Amino acid sequence: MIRRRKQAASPGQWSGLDIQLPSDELLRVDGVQKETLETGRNRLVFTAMVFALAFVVIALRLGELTLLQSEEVSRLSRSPSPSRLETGRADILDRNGIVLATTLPTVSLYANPRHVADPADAAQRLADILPKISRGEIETRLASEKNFVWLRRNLSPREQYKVNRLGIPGLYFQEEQRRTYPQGSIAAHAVGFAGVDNDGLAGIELSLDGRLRASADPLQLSLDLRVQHLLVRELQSSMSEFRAIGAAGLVMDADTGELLALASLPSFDPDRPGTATKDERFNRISHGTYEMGSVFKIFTTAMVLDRGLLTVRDGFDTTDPIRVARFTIRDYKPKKRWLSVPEIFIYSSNIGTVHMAMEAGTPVQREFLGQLGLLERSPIELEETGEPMVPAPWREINTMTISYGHGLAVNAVQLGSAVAAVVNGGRLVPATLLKRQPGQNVPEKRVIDPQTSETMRRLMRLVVTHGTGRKADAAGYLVGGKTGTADKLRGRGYARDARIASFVAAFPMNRPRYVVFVMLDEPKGTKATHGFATGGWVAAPVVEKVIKGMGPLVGVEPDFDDFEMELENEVLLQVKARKKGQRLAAN
Amino acid sequence: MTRLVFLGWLVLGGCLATFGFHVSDDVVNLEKELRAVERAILEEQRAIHVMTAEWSYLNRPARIAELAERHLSLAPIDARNMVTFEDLPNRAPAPGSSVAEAAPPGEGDQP
Repeated sequence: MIRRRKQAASPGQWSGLDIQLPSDELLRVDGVQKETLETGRNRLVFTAMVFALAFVVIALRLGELTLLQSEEVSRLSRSPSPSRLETGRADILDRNGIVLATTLPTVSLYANPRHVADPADAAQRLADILPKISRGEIETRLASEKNFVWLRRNLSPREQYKVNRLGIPGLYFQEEQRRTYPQGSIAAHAVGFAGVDNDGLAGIELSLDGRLRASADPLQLSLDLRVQHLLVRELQSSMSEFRAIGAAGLVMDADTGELLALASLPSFDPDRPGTATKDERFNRISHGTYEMGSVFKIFTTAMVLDRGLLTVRDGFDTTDPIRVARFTIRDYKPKKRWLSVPEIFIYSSNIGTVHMAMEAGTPVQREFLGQLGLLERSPIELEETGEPMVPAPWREINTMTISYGHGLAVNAVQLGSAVAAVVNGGRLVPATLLKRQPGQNVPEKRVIDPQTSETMRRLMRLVVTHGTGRKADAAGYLVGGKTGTADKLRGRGYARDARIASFVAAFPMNRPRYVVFVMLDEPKGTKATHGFATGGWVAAPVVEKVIKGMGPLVGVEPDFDDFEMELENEVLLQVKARKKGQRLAAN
Repeated sequence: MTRLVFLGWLVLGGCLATFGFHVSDDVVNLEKELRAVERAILEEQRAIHVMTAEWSYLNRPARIAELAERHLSLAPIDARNMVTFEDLPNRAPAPGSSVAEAAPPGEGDQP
């Protein structure tokens, strides 16, 4: 090697390859050639080794991929073709999995008139199988000189089959997607509807548009279609009986805040939202804010009891109306005597409630209602959510009127949540239209003491057994509640003839599971109600029917135990003992 | 000797090539089959999707209520008609006797 290198270093070596060189030179040339060969061989070996190494690496990698990570890799290599149906917009289901909104492939029929041989005959045969379009109209379109005419959008599969069977040349189908609502108008305000381009325009379709587009997994709502149907049916019949201009109602799970039913009437067909009037599309249950009337006495009573300002043994003289500034606060059915706190609640005395609120004062009332979420927008998943109308400034007169539900307008959903908090042991849970999974963490806020909640449940039960809400008593379900009748605002004053009659209930009162709220907009009294159109006469019976119907469906066990007797002992008899000679609240 | 080794490698290479070709051919065929199956699945899914919607449409509570009223002699259950298992009267059919005889109205018999 050393010698060769020396030779390589010597000059003139590459003039070599010439054969005419002398022998000693030839020897050297031979050495040079050999060296060149050697170099070539070395290079070959080197290259071969590089290749060999590369192959070994590939082999190792192959082994690793196929033997060691086979599962992971086979997942990567799966064919890209979709393994599930893509509709571009997820279905909406009720809590039991019934389809409320879905996207269906439909076909639209069009024609190329140039390819239609006999327009008159084709028109005749098409008109026979396609309703809603006349023979003349089809013929005019088929006889035109264009290349493309629509004949009918969105055929049903049966119609498509019939058209195909006709075998008329020149007719073609265009595949399209269309949002459909199989359940029709029953939950139209909650579910909402989508436009022609399948974009959400109202309800859940609007507020969760992004979610519905992003994932193909169906969206499950908290609604229970059976309960929804019951509520809508009873609201409808009550609305026509009392000739109301509208009605609304909800059923809420008192523990989780899930809305099992959410109805607003009059309703519309979400498949044809264009034909609905503004009034039909208006969502009275979450968008409309109303002065709720006496149902607010629940909060006033809960406030004074919870803050320890009064006990069930206290009371006020309700003989004289209260005069403040230019207002006079009267009772609807004056008792004209001293009433205990339970009696004030049961008989729905405005005068007594105002006295109670004045014990608390404006700051306490404001803070308490704020805690119950009645002064801010409800967290429900609907764009159509009305903000409460809070008086500013909040004067003493406002404190007085708000105590019995005038001067503060809220929507029914937040009212339902607040009532749920009062009866469920004092936990405020945000209302939701989406189904909560079992075991899911529910955000909650303590607003009143469990002891106060217990007392309020008894008081609300007494309203139904002894007070203004007797027509809501669905036997066996221990219904408790509170009536409400509020004059509607008209211009700057109140209208005497236009009312909101409402009833808010919870059941069963020994351990409330559901809150039911029903409201009728401008009901008129009938002969059967002796001309009355108050919450106790028109809204309470709806609540009774809804609870009677839904009780067995949602698995509430009927209870005929003497819960009431216990109530009387604890609340009313003590009052009687103290106020001897006075009539007992019980009739 | 070298030739023999070379021949051996050649045969081995040929075999591997044939085997590789067959595998790749099988893959192509299987992929074609897979695509066909997937298309069929998609078609079925589409049909199921449409039928689910139709099922939901046919199960509108209002329609069911009307059908039940027309064809069944059932009424909504009243709370008083629901009793617990403990409220049921004891039934101890005597051997050989029919059930009706063995269950006379007892003390625990409630509406």
